[in-house]
Amino acid sequence: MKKAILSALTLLVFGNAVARAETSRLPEQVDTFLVEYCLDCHDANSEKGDINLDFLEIDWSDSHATMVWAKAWDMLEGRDMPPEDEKQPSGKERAAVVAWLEGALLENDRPGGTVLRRLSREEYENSVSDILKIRFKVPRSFPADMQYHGFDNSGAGLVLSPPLMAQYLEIATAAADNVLPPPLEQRRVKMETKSIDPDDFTLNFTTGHEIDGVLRMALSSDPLGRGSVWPNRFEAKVAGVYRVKIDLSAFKPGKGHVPVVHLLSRPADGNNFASADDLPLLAEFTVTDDRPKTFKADVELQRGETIVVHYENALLSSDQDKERTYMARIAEQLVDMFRADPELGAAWMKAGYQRSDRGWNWLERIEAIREKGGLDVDGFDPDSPDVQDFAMKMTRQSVNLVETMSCYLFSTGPGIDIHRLAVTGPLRLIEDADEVAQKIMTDRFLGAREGRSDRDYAEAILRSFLDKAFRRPAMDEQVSQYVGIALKHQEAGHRFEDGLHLAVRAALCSPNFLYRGQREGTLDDFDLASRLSYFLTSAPPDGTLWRFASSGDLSNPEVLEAQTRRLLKHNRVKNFLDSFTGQWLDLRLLPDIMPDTRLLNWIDKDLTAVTAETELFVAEILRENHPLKTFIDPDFTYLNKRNAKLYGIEFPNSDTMARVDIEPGGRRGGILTQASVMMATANGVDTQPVLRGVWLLENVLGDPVPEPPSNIPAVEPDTSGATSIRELLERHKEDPSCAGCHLKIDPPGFALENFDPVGRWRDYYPVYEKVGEKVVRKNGLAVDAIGTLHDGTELRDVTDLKRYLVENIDVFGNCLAEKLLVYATGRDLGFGDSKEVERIVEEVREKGNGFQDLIIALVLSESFQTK
Amino acid sequence: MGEGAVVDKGYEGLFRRNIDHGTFWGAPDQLAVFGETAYHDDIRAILTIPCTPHAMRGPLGIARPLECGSFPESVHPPMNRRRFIRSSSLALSLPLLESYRPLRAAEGVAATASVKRLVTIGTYLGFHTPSWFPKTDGQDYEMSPVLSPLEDLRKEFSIFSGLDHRAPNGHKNWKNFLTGKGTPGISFDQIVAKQIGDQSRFAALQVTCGSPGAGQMSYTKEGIALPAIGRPSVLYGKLFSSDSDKARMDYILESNGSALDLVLDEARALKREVSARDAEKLDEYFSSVRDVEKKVQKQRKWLEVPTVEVDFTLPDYDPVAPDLSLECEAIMYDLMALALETDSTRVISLLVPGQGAVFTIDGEKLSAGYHGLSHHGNDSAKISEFNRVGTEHVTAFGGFLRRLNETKDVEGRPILDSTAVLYGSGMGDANTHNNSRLPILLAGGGFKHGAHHAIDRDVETSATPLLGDLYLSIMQAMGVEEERFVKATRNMDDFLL
Repeated sequence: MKKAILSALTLLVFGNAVARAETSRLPEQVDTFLVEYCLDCHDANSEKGDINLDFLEIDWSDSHATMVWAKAWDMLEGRDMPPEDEKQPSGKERAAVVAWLEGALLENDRPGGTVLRRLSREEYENSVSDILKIRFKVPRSFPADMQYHGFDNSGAGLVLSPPLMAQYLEIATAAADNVLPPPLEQRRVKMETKSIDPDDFTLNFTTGHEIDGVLRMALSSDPLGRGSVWPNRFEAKVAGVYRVKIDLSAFKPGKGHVPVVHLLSRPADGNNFASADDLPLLAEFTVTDDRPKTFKADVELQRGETIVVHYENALLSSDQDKERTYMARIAEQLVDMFRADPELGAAWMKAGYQRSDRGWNWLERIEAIREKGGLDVDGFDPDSPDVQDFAMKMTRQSVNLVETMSCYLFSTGPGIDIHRLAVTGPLRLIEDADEVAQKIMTDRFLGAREGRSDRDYAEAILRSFLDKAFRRPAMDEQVSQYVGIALKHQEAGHRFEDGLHLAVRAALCSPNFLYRGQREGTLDDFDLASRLSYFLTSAPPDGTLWRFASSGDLSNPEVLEAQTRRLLKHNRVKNFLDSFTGQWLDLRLLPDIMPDTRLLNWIDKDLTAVTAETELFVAEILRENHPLKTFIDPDFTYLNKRNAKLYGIEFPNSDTMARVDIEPGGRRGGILTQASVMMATANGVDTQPVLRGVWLLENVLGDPVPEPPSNIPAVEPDTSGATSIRELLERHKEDPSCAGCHLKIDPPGFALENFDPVGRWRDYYPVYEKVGEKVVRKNGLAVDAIGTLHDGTELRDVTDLKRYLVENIDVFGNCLAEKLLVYATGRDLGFGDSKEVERIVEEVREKGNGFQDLIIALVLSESFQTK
Repeated sequence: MGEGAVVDKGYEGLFRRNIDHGTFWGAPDQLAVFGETAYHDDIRAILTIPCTPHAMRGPLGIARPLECGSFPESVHPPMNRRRFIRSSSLALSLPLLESYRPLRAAEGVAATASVKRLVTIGTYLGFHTPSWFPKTDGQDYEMSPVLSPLEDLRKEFSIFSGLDHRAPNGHKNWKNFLTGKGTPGISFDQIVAKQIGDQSRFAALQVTCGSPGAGQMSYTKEGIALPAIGRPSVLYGKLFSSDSDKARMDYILESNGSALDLVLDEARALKREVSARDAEKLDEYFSSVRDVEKKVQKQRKWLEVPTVEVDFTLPDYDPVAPDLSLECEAIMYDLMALALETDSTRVISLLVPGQGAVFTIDGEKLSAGYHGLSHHGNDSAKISEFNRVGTEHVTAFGGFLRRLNETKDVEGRPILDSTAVLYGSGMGDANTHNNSRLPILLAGGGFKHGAHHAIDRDVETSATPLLGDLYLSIMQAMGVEEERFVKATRNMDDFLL
């Protein structure tokens, strides 16, 4: 009803403005047929299924009416109407009406008809990034786009609302700030000296120990938080050179060990898990003396950075070596400690390791045992296998052990003592890293002035910018308007850059930037470049497409094909794969589905694995130009241990996705079996054949069914397991008004019943029983996946459905091609478009049916190249 | 390597630094070029903190407090950095005018359970729960050792034991505290922010103390962790923008006028050329631009509102080093209270981080790092030190509650009465890092308080409440029409109303 009102309104306002404002009078034969077989249900009074055919003529200017007549053709041609229990026309009567309607539709419902397309959120991000040469993301509060005809990039769905416009305006300022920042405020920072005493350092775990008025360090483990210290109340207030003076001494270094201290820089509020190796080295000091000596260095610090003191060559470190010999190394050091202090060894062996032993409390427990006495020190042989084994066993707690050894070393050495640290600065300012990065972006946007006047320079900058922003050469008049407001702004007392800033802000809110596809009829080369580019990369045309569009060669089929092939190899095709696959196969729904914990413990990594499988799978089909049947029945898939486990396939213990050969024709492989799709078509708890059936009709079989009547409740599985879902549905089908659609929906839906809500194979439905405290899963009713397709094909399970689709691959081909075309053109397909798709699908099949070939054929089609 | 490579490197550095300084408002994997933009419609963008490179200097191009650009004489900024928000005599009452309903107040109609604000606080390493949960339940429960700093406030809060989300265990699943599940999902504070966020300048603020470590608490619908501000100076700058911020904003708003004039001209020219259907589509554009123009006028008016002094002094350094996080926590509570009192936001989440740092409490260095203490292995010495840290957290929290309880709104009611404050952790038993039987306390919000509710978690009936049921009660009291929160489908009104 709503649609009808809407289209009536459209007609009222624009009826006479539409180019094809023509009508076709129904021939008497058609009219008689309608009265005889259709109007009982589909007149203005009954309007069953919101379809009213009670007209004497077809008004082609009314897109809704056109759609209704195309639907009528489809129903008659497919013998879906009139319903079986109604009076049936003869074959001849039907054929005549079908033929007339087809002719009329072909003539009047031509390919094309996309309404202005606003940039989607993703397209907007990519467009701003490209034209300003920056990396750009919209804020979280940016409104999401609606899905319409299954995709979020359709012209009709991309509405512009006041809040969104407000965002555009706001973001335009932020985006322009990237390349044309407001003037820097002058900095005035006084040089000062900050004195940092031993108790003014951050200690993590046992990175240091305050003793006798010094801060002692004995280890150098990674990450930073386990092996380094830094002042807790100092950070550079501005990027500059700072003079560091640090008083250090070596603490009982022992023979042959000369401590080396590194000063590193890190953001004061940075990540404690960073590795010392990754931080910039400011200075290196060799500490030879056991009396404090002052070391000096002038170091560069960025704003917000502080100075890390790192005992670079400490004997003790729990760093993970690649060879994993660090355990052996620590064990050796422990034995060395025992050799030097056998009593410690004897006490430690007696103490062993207990839960919660770590650092000081472990050492205290050991020392208590030592103090108690009675240890067999003489019998303690550090080189005995017992001691060696013990040391190795202790390294299982390597972190706790190293901390405890460190505590011991605090009193025996080797170590370094920090007596004082003083930082004076800034001695002078240095380039702020942020500002340097900023300047690079500004320079890249502006280009060199080369002695030009403000007007010439502004014109050069803005012409190049507007070309990109509007995706076609900006008209002189447009350029002069933008140059005009920029220079006027400058005249009003602002900087030259502020004028450009204003012009950039304006352009980013211009309808010529925000909307694409403005010209009617066949796309010109620039509009073609945009449609192709946003289709395959979700981004505006790159330099190459621009050149071919400028020279007028892009519409040449050979060039267009070559360019399409180029983009299909471009790494930005990932945007297409993510967006198209994510929406076509509903992978975008997955993060919101929380599988029932009684089924399995589902973690983020499982989600990543099942999503990656489908993404890698579709990416390969595209990359390798595999035939379309690969989607249905491939001989490979991508697995890691997580989805392999779901599938019950042996797999190495690895989270890395690997390409795996599988047997075609089986229960696994293809989009009809992948866990991602099985999850997206269920709800995480149970499966519903109706939902999966509807999904298959829409996304694989290309025969979408209308929405169910709103007063009919959903058929939900009986969780007690007493009644099978089939019985429930059979009852449902007894109602003839339901049967029409359910005869189509249920069989393919049932064929997937062997897949549980997370895509595992099952032969029985689960029932949950409480046994004592525990809930136990048991086998309930057997899964019954049998069904008969609309055309009489018998299905026992998913393998039969796969075979059916492989044998009737055009069914799938048509569906996929239509989805691609809807995604590419941003419109619902009309009769002319659908006919074009049918022709293309046949042609491509004859040429090997490659996925790339299909995309190329679509790009070359009239449908793609018409607005 | 061409020019691009160099630039990218610069960008990465820039990106990282931005994150480090808390000026970024996108998730780390979503390099947001623009800042937080969720404001009241009329004042949208007034206090935007853009994330553009220049803006790393602070809101709208103003030097970040850190940078001391505006401190001519000394490097002790606070004395010179008093910010002005609104006119002094009206200090705290003006922002609350919206809630001023004299008639209702005169009639003595108490707006029970009309909760206006939500504060959620989580300590990353949790507590030693035997020292947290009171040994007895009901109204006359005996206060537990760790909660003893809250004794004087006992009528203002309820303690719950035995609540959790039946979600997975471990550090990584701590995030289920507010999201109710281990996999990505929206946290309940953000559900509330979506509902009431447009009533204040900031839809929600996420706060932590220094670096959050591995912790994350607030999540978007897409399951993206919201970055939390860890630097007091950054939170302060965000809340109390200066005059020069306003000058820049006014300049942008004013000049936007000529930008909009230009694009409207363009749109009119375009409309003449396109088809009727496209012209209709363009009408969306015209009406949106007109709406925005009106909004710009309102925004500029708001800029004329006089400002008032906030009497608050920051230390001359940001206590962001991990061993200073308790110090940072106390400051953040003050700033959070200020944010609520000035009605800058109505939804705040605070993640109290837990890293390996060795704390100094009352001048005494503890014997081990905080994280090490949390794995106390039931060693009594470690438990006692762990509880000292826990008590510090609770003491700071108590100060916050007391402040909210003493600050009155224009109806003379304590702000606490209309602020639901959830305190707890996503960690149940810190020692084994499991996520069941979470320590949970709910204060304020006009609920019925004063009791310890011991929920028998082992009796798994449909009536056994989940933590999500508590969240549902809070949400429903705030007018959020949610009937389900992950596994929870009821509420805990029986305990609270």
